[in-house]
Amino acid sequence: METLPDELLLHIFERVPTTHIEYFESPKYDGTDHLHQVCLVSQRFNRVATPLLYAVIDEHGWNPLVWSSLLDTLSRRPDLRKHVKTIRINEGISENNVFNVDDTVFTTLHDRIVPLAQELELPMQEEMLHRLRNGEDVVIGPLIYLAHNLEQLFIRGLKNPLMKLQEPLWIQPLNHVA
Amino acid sequence: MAATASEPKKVTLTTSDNADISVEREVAERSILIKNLLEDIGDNGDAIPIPNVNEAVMKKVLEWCEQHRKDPPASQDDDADSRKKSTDIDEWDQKFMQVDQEMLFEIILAANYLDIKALLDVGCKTVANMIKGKSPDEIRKTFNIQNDFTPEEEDQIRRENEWAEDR
Repeated sequence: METLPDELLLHIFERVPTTHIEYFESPKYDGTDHLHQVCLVSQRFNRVATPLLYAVIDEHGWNPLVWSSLLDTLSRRPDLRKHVKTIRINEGISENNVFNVDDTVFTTLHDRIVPLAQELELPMQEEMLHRLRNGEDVVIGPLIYLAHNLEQLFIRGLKNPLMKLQEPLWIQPLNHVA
Repeated sequence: MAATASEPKKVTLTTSDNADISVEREVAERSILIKNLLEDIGDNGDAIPIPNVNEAVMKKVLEWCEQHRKDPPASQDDDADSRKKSTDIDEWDQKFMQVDQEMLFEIILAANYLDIKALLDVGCKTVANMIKGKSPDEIRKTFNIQNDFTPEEEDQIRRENEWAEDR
């Protein structure tokens, strides 16, 4: 393995994730689990595999704390933001992840998102805070803002766009980006 | 005349350890490097030096080229697609890649140098399959890699990548 230059190590690591990551209806993307292990092998593996680990953010029933942990890392490590190319989330994220305001989850999210929203000068910060207080998960908006090299955003299972759901907050700032 | 025309054209390759290997031109041209060399210098019958590949590895690579001599040439799109596809490797290639690790990495290096994309892909997929599903420690053991992290560094990476923990 030591005989291989970084370029070939990268070729190998690129082939570690096995699902068809392009496609909407694909099964679970397994790259995150495997590349996470690869990063912990050695300094060199970590250097080569980290950009790949962050290239695809694929949500699978994540709770708000997982998102918040990712946001935390991306806000502390601006150098990692550029690697995020694909984000795949599930429909109804704001619905599924409702939590109680007195929850520690709220405190954690609040403490992470508020300074971040200020730092990034996100639009509609008051609305965001309001929704957060109502127990809505508002992490996607900041994440999309942080991922300045984002190429693809997939939303899984958008079955009925006419459902009487409140428009998730993160959709709105996207209009500003576009 | 007709008989000589149907005779397949051969080229001679000289490996890093000075062995001459005679091979059909069509087989050798699976290597884009060799193909371009032959086009540039013209086939004047001289041996082509391959200074980065030894005889044992070259023979192994040519065995693969012989098997895949009729494969359609890879397009640009194929290259982009290959990394997205599942780690499927056809049966012949799987058997072909059942070699010791040293040879496996030599094949990958040679495929890269000789510019044989499909072989490079199979080699890399084979190694990727050896990595998948293993813990960092198991990966180190498999490839004889030293853990050169300090405990603090390892902790920091675990913390930063906590979102990626299997759950």
